[in-house]
Amino acid sequence: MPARRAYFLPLLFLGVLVAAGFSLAIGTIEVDWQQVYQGLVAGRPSLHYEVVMGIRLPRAVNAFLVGGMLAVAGALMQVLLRNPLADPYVLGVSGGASVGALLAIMLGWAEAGISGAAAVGALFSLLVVFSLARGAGHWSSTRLLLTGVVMASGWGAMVSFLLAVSPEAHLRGMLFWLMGDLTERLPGGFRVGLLALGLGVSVYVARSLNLLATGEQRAASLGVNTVLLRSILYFTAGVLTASAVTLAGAIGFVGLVVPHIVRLVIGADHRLVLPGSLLAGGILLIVSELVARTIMAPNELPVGIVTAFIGVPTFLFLLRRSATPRS
Amino acid sequence: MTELSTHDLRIEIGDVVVCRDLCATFMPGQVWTILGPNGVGKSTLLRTLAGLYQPIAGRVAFDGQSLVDMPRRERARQIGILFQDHADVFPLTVTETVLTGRHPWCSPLQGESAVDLERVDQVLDEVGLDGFQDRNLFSLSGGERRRVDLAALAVQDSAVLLLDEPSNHLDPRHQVTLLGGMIDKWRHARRAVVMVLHDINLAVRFSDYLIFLYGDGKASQGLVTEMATAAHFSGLYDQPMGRYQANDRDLFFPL
Repeated sequence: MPARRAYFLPLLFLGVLVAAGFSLAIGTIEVDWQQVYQGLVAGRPSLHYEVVMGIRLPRAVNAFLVGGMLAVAGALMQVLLRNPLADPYVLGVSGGASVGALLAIMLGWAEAGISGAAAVGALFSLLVVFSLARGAGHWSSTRLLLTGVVMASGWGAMVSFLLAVSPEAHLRGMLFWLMGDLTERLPGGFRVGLLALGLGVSVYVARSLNLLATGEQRAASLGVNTVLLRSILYFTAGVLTASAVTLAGAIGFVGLVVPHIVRLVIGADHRLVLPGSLLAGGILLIVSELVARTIMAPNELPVGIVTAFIGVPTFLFLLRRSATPRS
Repeated sequence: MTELSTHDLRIEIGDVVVCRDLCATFMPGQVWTILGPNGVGKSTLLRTLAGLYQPIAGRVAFDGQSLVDMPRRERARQIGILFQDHADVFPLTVTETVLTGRHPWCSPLQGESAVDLERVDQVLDEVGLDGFQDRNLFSLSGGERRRVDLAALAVQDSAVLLLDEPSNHLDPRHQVTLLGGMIDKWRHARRAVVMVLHDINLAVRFSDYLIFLYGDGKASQGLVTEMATAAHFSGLYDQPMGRYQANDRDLFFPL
């Protein structure tokens, strides 16, 4: 029921603000907020202003965007494939992006070129899997899953190949890209718009998703255009994933586990699961990013490792708690 | 009249011809059961009647209008179907699941209204699941899950109800009192009911008309009083069948 557990959404939103606050405040430098305030109001440049506004804020915003995109994409993918193990990467979007990005790194391209190449790879993979899986017109979840998984392993082999043949000097950069890395550029309005659009589309079709989750035939019998809906799901999830991956590399775990955490807490109604996943994914990644740059400072860990370190125990705890009999 | 009708319907699944030139009219207030051996395509015929499977030739029409020409939403308001099995991936609650049956009546952006919720509670009470509202689907027994399906179909308020093996997982009391009661109620509300059943005796007990599918494309139909004989059932199932009379009922059993 929408009304019953909807109060979790404002709580999650509050959580985002708190996490972002910590992310801005904590780091290797003790921030002098007076200077930041002066920078904001009077436009007076200072080191502290630069650290907060130029480094920590963009990173926190990027983390929120990437986490939100991956979590929503994961939730959509799990419905599309009728498989709780599905994540945004299962159909090879991140594989395509990785191959594009690694090629660009090998060629010594600048950061913008790497992102561009990753985007091209991701979209290419998205279209190839879609057209192969459609085949004769009918596409079942199983066929789509198999096509995507095989495509993903193909990309995986390509990634290994590129890692094997690339010169030593590029390897560290490549590995960091693969593990997920949040850059310090301010995200373009384009990505914000994309996430908003993705959420809008998702919420618009959310009630139909509830039906689809009870069976494709059943959804069709209740008036849902399942072929159209599945295409919408596929491309919404795919484009969100591609956008997240080109911004931050293939950060694992967020897209798989956040939707499940949200379902365990809020319930399985997708009208709540989708916005809830966006917010919870954002929180997880903001916190992960904060931990990644502080826990071993001045060394910095890849964010993807931290998401798993935080996400795995959280998920297992919630799963175990929900397995106990309910009143 | 809001009847569901088939016109020269020919359905095939691979090499199996389910029916050839089938003409049948399911009038409001009538209860029909499709009988036949395993694999003759009873469920496929039912799905064709719901507009979910494309026939090779002929057409299915509601109120004279072909199902293919009907807007999906409108079709879903007129024709509801209960599937043989379900494939839930995520654990919705009982209320959430039954509410999905109201989908054709809700506008895309609005959620379900208080009226929808009231209707759900009322039907849950009818199927004996009052108090189960917030239960997780995965925590239900097979019979309870089946009654959730029946409730979800009931709240759809469609003019035609298609039921694939509705008695599955139900105990004798729920088969006869609950399912039989729901069917009677639908009959009195002038709905058309078409079922697939494996239990001949339930079919005879609940139905006004029977359709036999023989598996070679041949089909026969008629009033239950004419169709329900040991000889007919023996021919249909290729298995000698006997008849036994008790409590003013004809009961059929394999010999």
